[in-house]
Amino acid sequence: MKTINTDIAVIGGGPAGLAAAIRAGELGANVILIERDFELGGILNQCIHTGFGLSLFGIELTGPEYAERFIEKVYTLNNIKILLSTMVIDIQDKTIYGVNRYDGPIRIKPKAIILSMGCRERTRGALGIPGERPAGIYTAGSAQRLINIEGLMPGKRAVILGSGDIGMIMARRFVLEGAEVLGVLEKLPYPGGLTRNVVQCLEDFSIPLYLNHTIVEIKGKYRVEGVIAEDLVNRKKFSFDVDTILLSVGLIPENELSKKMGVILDPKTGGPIVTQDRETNISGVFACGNVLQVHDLVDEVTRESYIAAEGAIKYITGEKKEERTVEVKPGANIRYIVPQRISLPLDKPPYIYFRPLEPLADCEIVGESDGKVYLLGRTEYARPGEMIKLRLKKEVLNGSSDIKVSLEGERI
Amino acid sequence: MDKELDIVIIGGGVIGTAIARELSKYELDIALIEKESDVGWGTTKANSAIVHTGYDPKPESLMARLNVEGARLFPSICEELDVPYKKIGSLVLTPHNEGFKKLEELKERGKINGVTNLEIITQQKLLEMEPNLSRDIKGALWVKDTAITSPVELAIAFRENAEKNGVRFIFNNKVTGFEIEDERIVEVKTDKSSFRTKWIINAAGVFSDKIARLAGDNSFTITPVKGEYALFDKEVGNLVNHIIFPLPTETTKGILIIPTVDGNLLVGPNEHITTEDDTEVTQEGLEEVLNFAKKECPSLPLNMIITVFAGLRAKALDRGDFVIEPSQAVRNLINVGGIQSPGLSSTPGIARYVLEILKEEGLELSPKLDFNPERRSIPRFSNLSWEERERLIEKDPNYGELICRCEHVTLGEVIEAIKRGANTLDGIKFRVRAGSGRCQGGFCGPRLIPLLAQLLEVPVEEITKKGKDSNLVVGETKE
Amino acid sequence: MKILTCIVCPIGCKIKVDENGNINGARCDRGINFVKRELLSPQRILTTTVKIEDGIVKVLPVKSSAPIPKERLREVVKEISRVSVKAPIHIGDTIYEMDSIKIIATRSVDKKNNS
Repeated sequence: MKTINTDIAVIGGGPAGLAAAIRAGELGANVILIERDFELGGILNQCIHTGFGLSLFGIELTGPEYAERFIEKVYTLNNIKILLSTMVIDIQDKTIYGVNRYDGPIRIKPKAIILSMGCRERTRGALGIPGERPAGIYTAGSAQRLINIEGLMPGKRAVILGSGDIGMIMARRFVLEGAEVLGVLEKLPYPGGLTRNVVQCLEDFSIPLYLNHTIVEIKGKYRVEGVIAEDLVNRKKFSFDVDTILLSVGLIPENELSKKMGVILDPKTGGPIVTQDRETNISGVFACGNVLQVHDLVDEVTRESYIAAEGAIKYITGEKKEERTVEVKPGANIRYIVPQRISLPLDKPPYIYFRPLEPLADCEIVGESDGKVYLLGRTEYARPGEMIKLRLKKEVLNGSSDIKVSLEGERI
Repeated sequence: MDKELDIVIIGGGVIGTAIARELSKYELDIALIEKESDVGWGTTKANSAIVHTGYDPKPESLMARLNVEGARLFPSICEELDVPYKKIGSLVLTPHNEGFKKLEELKERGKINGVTNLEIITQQKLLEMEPNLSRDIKGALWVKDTAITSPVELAIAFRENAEKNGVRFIFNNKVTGFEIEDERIVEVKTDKSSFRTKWIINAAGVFSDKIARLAGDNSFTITPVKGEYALFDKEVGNLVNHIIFPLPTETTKGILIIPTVDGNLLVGPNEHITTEDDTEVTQEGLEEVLNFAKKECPSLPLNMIITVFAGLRAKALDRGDFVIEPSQAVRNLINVGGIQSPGLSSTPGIARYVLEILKEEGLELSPKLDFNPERRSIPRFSNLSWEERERLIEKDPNYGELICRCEHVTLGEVIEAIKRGANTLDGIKFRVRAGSGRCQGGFCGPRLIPLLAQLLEVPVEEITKKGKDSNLVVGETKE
Repeated sequence: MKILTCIVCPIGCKIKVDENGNINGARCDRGINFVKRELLSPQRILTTTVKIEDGIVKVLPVKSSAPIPKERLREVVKEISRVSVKAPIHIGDTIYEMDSIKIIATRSVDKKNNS
């Protein structure tokens, strides 16, 4: 088996892996970037809509345009080796086992690993929706791949379950390709994705958004013939005559490889427990992007990946010194916080990233540690579909072993 | 189809294909007619995949005899055909002390049927063997020789071997009638074709009574009884080490917890009478199955379900046993009906029994001198060592290209599956597992659809999930 | 009184416009400009795909180089559904023009290597 030694191995060549590889490469490390698809870009290649790069570049780009900036850059750095069409099968004791058709099996021995494998989508099977198992049921991301990469149209009349961004964006995509979308069903009382997408994907095309609704049955044995939807408020059922169902019901960070290595995950995020440098419980193993926490904006993925790369560099140069850690715990109204641990001493004040459990307005972000209560920040709106980023003041971390962060605000 | 065949087998499930393979050992012109696009898509693809030992069926019944014989022959058949077979043992639990009496009865019945290796164990030993079971369980009957297998893979293997030995398989043909002359069927008519034949074997599963009726034979009625299942992620595959049974009732073995040969966990089935085309999973049915299993195994993680499905048992309730016999209505029809549990386990026994019946009915049999009993499965990349993988990829680089990331299935395996007859997405899934993992085809599906179109050289909108009108895409974008 | 959700950036400010044309609730100027435009003649950037031949990918993602009137979206999509381009394509290449609308490639596509 071919064996490659290197400084840093980056697993996954999507936005997270690209940014991590570039930053690590710029800082002088020898990097191997491993990507299972035939080209770099990851999920960005199929995200042909706009909404990328506004924060990082000041202009709004489509997914492929955002990706191409990084892909061009990564190919200019001679110390980055790129392995395409290569699938990582296993990781044992930080040794990576991959395979592709040209090299056959490959063993990679890095000093540090950056995990950037992204997510997969929750499936119909996992939801247990009653009915037969006909053709025509697609997760939104799969349908997006079919349409935007394979150039194939899944169906003619669709209903979409889940009002996350992917669901809404695919509603618009479907319509623009000449199909009908009869509605987007959302089981919660508020939309799952960005408000701008409700406007430019649903309202613009008169696609009804049914809040407090879900699908209770799928009709059709060989191909979808319809769905039975239920209004969860008044329990009324009604049907949609469709041949396609798109599911946008949740993203699951793809941590099977991480688990194989012994990386400990946070059940609230589905991703590894990390420090502010994005280091997992295993020394020298870092995580960034959707594999760590499901992001809303790729700009934040890029920033997070730079942090992970810098952390990996500190690790391999021996610069990293850890004296103690502070646990960061989610308190009232907060679903999860990343990072879950702050490693001290700090070189700069860390940011924490979190999501509220439900939509709130006029919020105060409050930290509690050693019996003391701190006001950490304020925000006008807090929505589950929009990650909040907050810088933690150094003094909040002095002397404490843990800090609980809560959100107080008015329910919207 | 001009020339008269010797044998037409109706139904390509595990039973029909097993009979085809058994008969292919002789110089006979055989065709198997199947109404779906592939083998094993009826009851065969939705059952518990268990090879029972045979302690359970009523003594002296055909079920008891053929179960014991089938179970005995199973390991060597799986060896010849390269099909998974794992003897993991099973436990029949009792939640109360009174149940031990029932366990004793089962053990006795086993003895009568010729099944040994049964041991009654107490709670302490049970919990040592199965630490994740509920502490409310008092003990169990340990059936050491129960095994698990892969029913669809077995049907596929029977088919491949039968085909290699001369049997013709005709798909997408539904039998619609018989041409009868002088109390003999002379022609089998389907919705697409017709076949003249000397003998007919009716192995049509939940439709076997309808097929018999086409010949004026009303000797049995099939009651379709649905069973619903939930399949769990491989991560919880070793929640239990043996197949977990509850105390059986009069009619059913009950809702089980079953490790699968691929490392998943299967829970089910329940029992509800329905129609022969109803394989819908229901909300109530799913809850029934999961609540039952959770009582036995409280740590069963319901959020690790990757898919749910349902299958139909073909029960001949009016006969109370397998119906494997020559028809009384016509002279050349052999009915193989009512093959409910322990049907799968009895498969090799049933095939031999049908052969015996044909002999008794006067079929001339001359053994095929060049019969080849061996069939090798498609190499499974995920099960190979790194050295084996390296050699495989050197021979064929397609085995170095991963197309299913959940189950680690390679392009080489998919191409081989298509060569061996897979022409649908499910056909690929059942042969090489692409699409049966935790993402349920989300990753590989969009890649396999155009690949199938390319390799089968058909327009992409003709590619289906499971034949008939289960087309996957309506065409290219931009019409 | 109208309440519009600004779509310029992901924040999605809820901007109020009263009968006298007073605008409130925008966090930045882009929001104010968006609302003014939206009330007059709403515009959107169009993103879609077109066929590409000889390329390493089967479809080419494209966008309108500037926002186009919202009510023309479907019409424009229909017209460019007939467009097919040939690789190689460079990101930013204009692949179609109609009226004042330019449709440009949002990625580069190399020629397929048929070795």
